[in-house]
Amino acid sequence: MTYTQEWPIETMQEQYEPPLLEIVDLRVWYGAATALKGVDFIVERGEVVVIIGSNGAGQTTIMKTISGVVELRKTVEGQVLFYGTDIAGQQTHKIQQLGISHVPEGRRIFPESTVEENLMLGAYTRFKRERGAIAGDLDAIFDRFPVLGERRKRPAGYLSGGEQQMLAIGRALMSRPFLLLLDEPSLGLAPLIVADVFEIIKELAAGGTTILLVEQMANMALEIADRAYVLETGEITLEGTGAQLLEDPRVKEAYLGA
Amino acid sequence: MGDLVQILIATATTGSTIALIALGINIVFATTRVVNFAQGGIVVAAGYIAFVFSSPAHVGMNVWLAFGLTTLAGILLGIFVDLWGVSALGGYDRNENRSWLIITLSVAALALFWLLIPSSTFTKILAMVAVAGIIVGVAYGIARPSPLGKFDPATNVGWIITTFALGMFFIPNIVTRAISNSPEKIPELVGGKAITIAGQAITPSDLLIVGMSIALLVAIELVMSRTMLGRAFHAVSQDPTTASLMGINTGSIVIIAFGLAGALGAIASVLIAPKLFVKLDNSITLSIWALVAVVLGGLGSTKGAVVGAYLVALITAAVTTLAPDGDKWAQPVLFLGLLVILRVRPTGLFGRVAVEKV
Ligand SMILES: Nc1ncnc2c1ncn2[C@@H]1O[C@H](COP(=O)(O)OP(=O)(O)O)[C@@H](O)[C@H]1O
Ligand SMILES: [Mg+2]
Repeated sequence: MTYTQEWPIETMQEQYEPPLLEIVDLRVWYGAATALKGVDFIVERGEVVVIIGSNGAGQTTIMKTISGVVELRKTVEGQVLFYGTDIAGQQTHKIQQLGISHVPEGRRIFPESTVEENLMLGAYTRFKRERGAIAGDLDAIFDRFPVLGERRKRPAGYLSGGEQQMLAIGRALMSRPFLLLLDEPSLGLAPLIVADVFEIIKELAAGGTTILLVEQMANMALEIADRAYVLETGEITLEGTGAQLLEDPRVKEAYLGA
Repeated sequence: MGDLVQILIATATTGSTIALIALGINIVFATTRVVNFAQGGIVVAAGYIAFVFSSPAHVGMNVWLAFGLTTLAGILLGIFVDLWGVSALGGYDRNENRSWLIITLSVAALALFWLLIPSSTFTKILAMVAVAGIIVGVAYGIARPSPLGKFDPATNVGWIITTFALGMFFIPNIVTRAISNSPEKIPELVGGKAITIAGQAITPSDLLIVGMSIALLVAIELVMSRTMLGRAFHAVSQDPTTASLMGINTGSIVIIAFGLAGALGAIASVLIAPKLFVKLDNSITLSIWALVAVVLGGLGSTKGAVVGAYLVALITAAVTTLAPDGDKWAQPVLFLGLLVILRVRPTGLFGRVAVEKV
């Protein structure tokens, strides 16, 4: 005899749902040097969360630790909870497969591969099961970034810095991530191009993509942030909504040049 | 006319074989930046393995079946070289760096062979140099931690020693001790009459070597340029960390590269056996040819490896056939050619010109 038990749907919905990403007391060392001194923060579904900080504060370390990039003499303590499961210490490719897509600092496009190949590589892990959907996604990327469409057969190394940043973002979107990590997308770009990039991030956010953004361009980043944190030498010193931090005198003085 | 035809036949057959071996070296180099000196050893080992499978005095199975099993053995040998000689070296952390283990085991194994094999003073000296080299190489590897999380060929040069020792001594020694120490023959894969052109015989084996090699080269090129696996290979060769951010398991790509290289070496070995026999010397001869081919063509370039391979075969065949005492002059002329080409084009004929990163 078998019987099936119906789950009481109402109770399910009332159950506690963990945040999409929760960082708990994250401590990172490179050899003896401390890079993160116990960082805690949360990213909820659909949010744009921004971490601002100056050079060397540990922003890239946070991003790399979330996506499991292993580095020289790096020691990690603490938890990286994704949907409530601790993923700290897992291999990078497995973390990507869970739905975390990391646009690394400096873009890191594959310069010898064509624009289209770069984008296809973004969809690498979807290729086996969702091959049919990929062509449509590729077209969607080309609609959103027409320059990439025009240059689809060119080696990506020939693109300008701004175009490469679009490509890096497009490539990350090709995996249809649950969480998009953006590490200083403005780095090395002319102010006009930076505005374009932020426009795109805003559009993505409006479309429902969950984004964790780290930036030194505090002004523009805070304007698109639902919530934001200030990171100083490996510690979070302030938090609030984007608007709150924009008005905060300490932030104004240290990061907004006011 | 007869000479010309002879040179062409030799270029086509030997060149195709070298191309397969060189492509194996290239694929491994592209994904790991390691020059796999063990490739020649795999070629020799595969020859003797094919001999055991096919010789009536041993297993005596169908040649084509033996060919298939030998290819499988080549894959396993390739993976063995990776696991023992290369990826095991990696580890930025002293506690994770298992070089010492590899070193110890390799030294023990080599010492054993040195004691057991009745060999010339020359080989004994080579073995001692290898032992010393392994110790130095691994010590160096341990002393200089890699800046990457994993194995980094640039700062951890233990791989030079381990792949060299595995390929030149370890694998061939085990195989020759276990199977045979003298040149052996493998039955030809295809029989039939030779065609004669200008007094020179072209055998069905010759045609098979060329046909099968070209088919394989084309197939691999198609996989590399058209499939997702090929794109993953290119991604890993350009930037392994970012490749893993794409969800690519870089470790398994590297293992596939070594396995594929092993398979290509084994196939080349069986194809060329009717011409060269199966013998220990082939490890060095074929390694040198293949290495010259990849360097000549440009490390990392598939086109370069293939063109380089046929060029090496052409120079060797032309000098051997045309010059008086040609056998003796083939290698010096080959190396001279290599030096001249590298002088003019340091990255080889088709070496990559790096695309600027903005
Ligand atoms: N691979 C590394 N090895 C050693 N120290 C590192 C490494 N990466 C970063 N650091 C150090 O850790 C600190 C934080 O670096 P990072 O996270 O890159 O800063 P940010 O991205 O905020 O500019 C810096 O002091 C930096 O020098
Ligand atoms: Mg940074």
